[in-house]
Amino acid sequence: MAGTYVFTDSLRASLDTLIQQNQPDVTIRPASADFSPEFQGAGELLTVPTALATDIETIAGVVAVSRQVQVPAVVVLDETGKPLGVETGGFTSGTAIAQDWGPPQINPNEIVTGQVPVGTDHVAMDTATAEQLGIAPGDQVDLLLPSGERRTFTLSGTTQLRSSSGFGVSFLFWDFPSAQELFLEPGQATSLAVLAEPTASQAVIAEQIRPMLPSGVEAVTGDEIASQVSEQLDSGLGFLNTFLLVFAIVSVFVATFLIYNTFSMLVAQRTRELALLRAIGASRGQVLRSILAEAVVVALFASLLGIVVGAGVARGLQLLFQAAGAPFPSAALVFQPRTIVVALSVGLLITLASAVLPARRASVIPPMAALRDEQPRTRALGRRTVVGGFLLGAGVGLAVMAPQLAEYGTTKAAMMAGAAALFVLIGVLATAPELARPAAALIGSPFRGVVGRLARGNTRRNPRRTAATAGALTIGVALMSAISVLAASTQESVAGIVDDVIGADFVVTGYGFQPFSGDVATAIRQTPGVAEVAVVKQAPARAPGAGDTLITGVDPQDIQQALSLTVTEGSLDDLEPGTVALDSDTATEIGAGVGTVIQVLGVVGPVDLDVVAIYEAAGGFTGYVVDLTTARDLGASAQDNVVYVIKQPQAEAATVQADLDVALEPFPNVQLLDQSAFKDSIGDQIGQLLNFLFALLVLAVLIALLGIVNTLALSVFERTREIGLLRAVGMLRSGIRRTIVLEALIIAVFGAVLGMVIGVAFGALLQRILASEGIEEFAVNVPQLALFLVLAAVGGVLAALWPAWRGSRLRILDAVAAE
Amino acid sequence: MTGTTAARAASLTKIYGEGEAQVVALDQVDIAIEQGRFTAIMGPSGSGKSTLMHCLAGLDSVSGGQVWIGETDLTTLKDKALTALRRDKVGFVFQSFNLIPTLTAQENITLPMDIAGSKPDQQWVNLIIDTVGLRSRLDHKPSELSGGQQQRVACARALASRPEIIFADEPTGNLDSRSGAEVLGFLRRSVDEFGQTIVMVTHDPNAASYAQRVVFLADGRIVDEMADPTAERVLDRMKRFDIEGSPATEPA
Ligand SMILES: Nc1ncnc2c1ncn2[C@@H]1O[C@H](COP(=O)(O)OP(=O)(O)OP(=O)(O)O)[C@@H](O)[C@H]1O
Ligand SMILES: [Mg+2]
Repeated sequence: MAGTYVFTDSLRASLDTLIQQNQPDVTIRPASADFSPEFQGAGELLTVPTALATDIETIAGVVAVSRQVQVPAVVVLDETGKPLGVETGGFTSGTAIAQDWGPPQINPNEIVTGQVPVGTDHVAMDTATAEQLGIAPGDQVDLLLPSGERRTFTLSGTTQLRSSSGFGVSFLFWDFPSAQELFLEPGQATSLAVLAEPTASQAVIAEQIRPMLPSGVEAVTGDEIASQVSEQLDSGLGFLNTFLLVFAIVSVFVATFLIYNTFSMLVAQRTRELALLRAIGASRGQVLRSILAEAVVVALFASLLGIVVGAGVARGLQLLFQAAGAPFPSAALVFQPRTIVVALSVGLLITLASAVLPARRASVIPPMAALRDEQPRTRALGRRTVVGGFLLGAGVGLAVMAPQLAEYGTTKAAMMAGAAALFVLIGVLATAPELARPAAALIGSPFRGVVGRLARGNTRRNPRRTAATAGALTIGVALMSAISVLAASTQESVAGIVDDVIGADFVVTGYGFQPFSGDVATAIRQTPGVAEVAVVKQAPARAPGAGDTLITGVDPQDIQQALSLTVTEGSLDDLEPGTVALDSDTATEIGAGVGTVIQVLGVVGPVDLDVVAIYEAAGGFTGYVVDLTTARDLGASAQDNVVYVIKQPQAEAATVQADLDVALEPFPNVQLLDQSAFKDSIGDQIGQLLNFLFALLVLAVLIALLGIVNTLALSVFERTREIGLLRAVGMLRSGIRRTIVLEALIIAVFGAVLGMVIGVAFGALLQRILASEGIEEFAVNVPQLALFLVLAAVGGVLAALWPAWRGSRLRILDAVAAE
Repeated sequence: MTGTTAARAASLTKIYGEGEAQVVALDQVDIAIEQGRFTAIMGPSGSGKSTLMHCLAGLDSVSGGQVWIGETDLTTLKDKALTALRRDKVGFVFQSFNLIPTLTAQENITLPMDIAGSKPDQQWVNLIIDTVGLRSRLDHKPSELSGGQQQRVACARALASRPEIIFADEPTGNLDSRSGAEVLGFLRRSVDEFGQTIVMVTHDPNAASYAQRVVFLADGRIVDEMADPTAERVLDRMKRFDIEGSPATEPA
């Protein structure tokens, strides 16, 4: 919990410092629509004329105007000629931002070693990238420019951001004239930075500049930019925060379970002590208060500890990101008072909440209990089971209804499924004690002999405790299984779509889905054995029913050869300049049909498009589709995003592939994939996202395992006499250890299997709901699920080691002589 | 003394604690337990009865002297060997909490053999079960048995593996007189009919009267012993402790 907050706060703070510093007072830039950052740079590079600078400099209060060049999608090549970072995978896209080395007032970077780059042969780059390449000033480095040209530069120096470390993206620097020559037309810059006197008002200067600007160019003050960027970051980070918070909630939920467990056991253990207190005159309230007071102390202590651990976890996540190639801009951890307050109050609250029930139970212990030498009987499981069964039924009901809702909207159905999952989970956890008895018998049955019998007996002795301990694990495993099923289904569906839809023999994409030069398509066309080439371009736009999106530009004839698309209305053959094809979902959502005119906002301005065809979305091919001319009009760059290749029927696939490999050698930033490799590459991406999710869920599972340690340690303590007796009648220490380990194993497997059943069921449910979104196949990654089970079992065994060791060390006489 | 000894202690000393808090629980005790006989150990509270039994049975380490069961010197054994010896050669009946709650009566009875992984002698086990009269209760958990029945199960367990010696620490301490008499009668029968060796610690002169020999302990020393005791004689002897207080004046 605390970990989450520290993590995002650190991220936010480091980005904030980055934005706030060195913003020019006024920026003159192309008036591209303020699209979400993930779509920026996808379109054509827009520029402003540098001639504006001379006029602006005459305005009172302006100190200087600096011309700037900032170009995305330059590729840094490593010594093997591959894009840097491609081999290691992770978040690195293998691209860099090319910039001119501006004056210090507007340049957040400073030189670390070497010097400022001068001339078109020299480049400076951020220290992290230079280190990754293993080069120092004076060494050579190869870059792939957006034009497709590959050029060798001499490293003049390494740089760093003044107050933070890198972004996970490489930065490359030239002096302005060189950058202009390399990337732009003469007389152009990507933006102009205006520096004003400190006393001058940014807004006033911007007002004075605006009349001078040609259309398509805007003047924005530094404050405006800062708040725009902040907003974008907030939504981006907000997502991450929400995401992490969900996991935090899961963890807290699991933790609540544990605390409840622990207090129940403590109370059970102290029945006699408490009864004695009652017998000598303590009131119920006093007993209740004494236990709650204990809970408060425990909670405060644990929460403080949790904050420290949380900070550690956040640091761990930071390192994880760093290892994945996306280091945080700033290495420092940020503690906000909010983090501590929230962590403390949550800790306190859940501890109290989970201690109340056991405490209440303790307070009703009759004084007579002191005189009985019996373990407190667990109450009949009846009421709890009934409530649990009811919830379970309700959850299943919701689950059955959820897919029907999918027709009205996937989100609603998914939310319903989520609610169903919650109900079922709680229901199962409530009824789990009933299940625990037969399940323990079943799981333990392969273990014969006394040890097996004892372990089985122990887990069945207090089914409620067994269930609660296992329950924590159930939650974690259920989530992991559901995600696993969903991922497997997605992979399977994607593979199915690739099979069904993609008629092309090969697919060429840029690493990190970066666009690549049009020369690639030309080179492919000239390769022997190639019959057809279909080029896909993308243009960022804001379009009804899709929000900020990428509009796909294709040649209608070529694309119908490369992909087998189902057209439900109109015809793709009619796709010509000024027209658009829509996928059926989007069309339904905005109520469009053939003949409707839709206005979309491209980077160069609004464009009206006639709908001429409605098609079924297939795989990644969805949304707005236009012809190539329209795509260019909307602002798609000269670069291509995907090229589909169809070979001549009589040509040997392997030969064509080999020839294509040769043809593509000059373009190290693209990869040639045949159908199966294409499936794999998509699978890999899903797999990567999955690993990230799993890494977070592992936290919940770890907490659950801690719960097993906890339960067993207390059980061992409770069973001191029993263990002593076993030792007295001849059980070796190793026998005691094995019994306890086996007990943990049974609990862990019980929890994991239960979780897996729930998880797989809900994975299947989600798959059905998402079927309309393209996840049409249901698939289960059996080896992965088996691995979860094995890991849970191994985790259970590991969790038992310490309690087992403690148990085996108990002195026999302590046990025999007790009382 | 007739017959061979089943267990023996020489200059057995047991000291608890250190310095100021040091307690000499057993002070140079020499004792021999004859095979096939029912021996009772009696003495005032705190005299060291339980300690003596624990040391003889290999449950506790000794501070000085030696202890043998059969020909084996327990003081030279490591935990593993000691555990195996307890399992194979010694039976136990404690005052309370004798049974594993998760196992049935039957399973509790064969527990030592199950731990050892050896096959119980079914005929023998059947004989014992019939002798203690638990046939109809075999599938019950300890919590479903009365205190007396539980102690009888414990006795059956102690006997089932045919140990060389059985130690019982106040086996009837928690029972009413009728159930106590049942258990004691059973112990005595196992001595008479099966030739079992039994050492029993007790407070109760009546219980001691089931034994063939009573050893009196006071302040960690053996102060007296009595053959073929009756309840009255034992009671008389015990009363003298109360009057005399200090055992030092007691003729050994
Ligand atoms: N673990 C221990 N630590 C310290 N002293 C102990 C320990 N166990 C026993 N003693 C002491 O050793 C002496 C003998 O104790 P023991 O339990 O053998 O007496 P007992 O004859 O069995 O008494 P009772 O009839 O009350 O059971 C007592 O003074 C007791 O206080
Ligand atoms: Mg005693």
